Amino acid sequence: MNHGDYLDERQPEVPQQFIDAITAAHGQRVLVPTEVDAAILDKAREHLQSVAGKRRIIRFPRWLAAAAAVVLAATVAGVWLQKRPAPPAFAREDLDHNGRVDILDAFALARKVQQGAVSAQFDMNGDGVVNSRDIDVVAAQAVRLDGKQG
Amino acid sequence: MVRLPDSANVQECSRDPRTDQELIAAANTGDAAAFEVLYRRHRDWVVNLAFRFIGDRDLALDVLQDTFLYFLKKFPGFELTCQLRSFLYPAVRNLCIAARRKAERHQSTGNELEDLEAPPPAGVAPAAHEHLAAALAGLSAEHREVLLLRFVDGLSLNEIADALEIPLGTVKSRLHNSLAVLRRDERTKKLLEQ
Repeated sequence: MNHGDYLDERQPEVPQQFIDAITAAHGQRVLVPTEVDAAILDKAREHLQSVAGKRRIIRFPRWLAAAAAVVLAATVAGVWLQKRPAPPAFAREDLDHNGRVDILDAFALARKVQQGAVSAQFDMNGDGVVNSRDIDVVAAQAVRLDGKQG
Repeated sequence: MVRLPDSANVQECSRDPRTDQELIAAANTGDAAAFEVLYRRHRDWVVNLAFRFIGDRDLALDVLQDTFLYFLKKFPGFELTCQLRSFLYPAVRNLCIAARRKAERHQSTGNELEDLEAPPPAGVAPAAHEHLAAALAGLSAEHREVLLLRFVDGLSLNEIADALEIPLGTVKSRLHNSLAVLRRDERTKKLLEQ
């Protein structure tokens, strides 16, 4: 006999007298005192009230929290940038930014021209090209006798 | 002093139309009244299942409390993936084993479940019930467990499979074999005659 066919769970093939007998033998026997009910339900109320209390704490949506974090970071960055001392101004010819124009700057520009790594910032004489004439300008600046630079 | 039950509240709980799933969802939000409905709906089943395992009223009441405290700790965030009784059944069984160990302080023999499942039925009329109890005691613990879950507790076959964590086919097989044994048994075959 196929068990699956035999045991249709909606209509178990046992007579009601069997169910009555087995229920009588093993059914309800213990009555629960109200003190036990109260003890369990008091603990439940206590526990679940704390759950409800936690849920009452306002929770912002994640996107709002992320946006607030971005605004805060931007504000902090802005304040930091404002407070940061301005970089010292150097003469255009002072390529190594040591505070004075000297022959080392001329050498530095010469190397850049030689390497071809030139940009408009090195166009010292403003003729639109960067070449040995610009090196001459820096060198002349380095050896000026009046001490004026820039 | 034994307090009388708050009958109005009990009746209100028993009439609550919400399913277990809906009550659990409410309890997850901190609704203690929803938990109370669940407790009153399943309390008697739990305590009598415990008594069936353990055969001691006071220990069964202890197990009732421990079972619902275990259940309570699942909140918030509890998700029920089967019937609630299928979920509670292993907890009751394990708590009964622990309670009996604690009470008797005996060394583990590995046969606690077998020991647990054969308490003598109390408060039952003699004759047919005694014969039935004796015949049931002759079944293995696994077969008797399935039979009682089906015909005393009214669990469906799927719920039994979930509760015992065994395949549905095994449930059907055990039930079939148990009934076959009882049908052959002189003491119980009359009860099973159509």
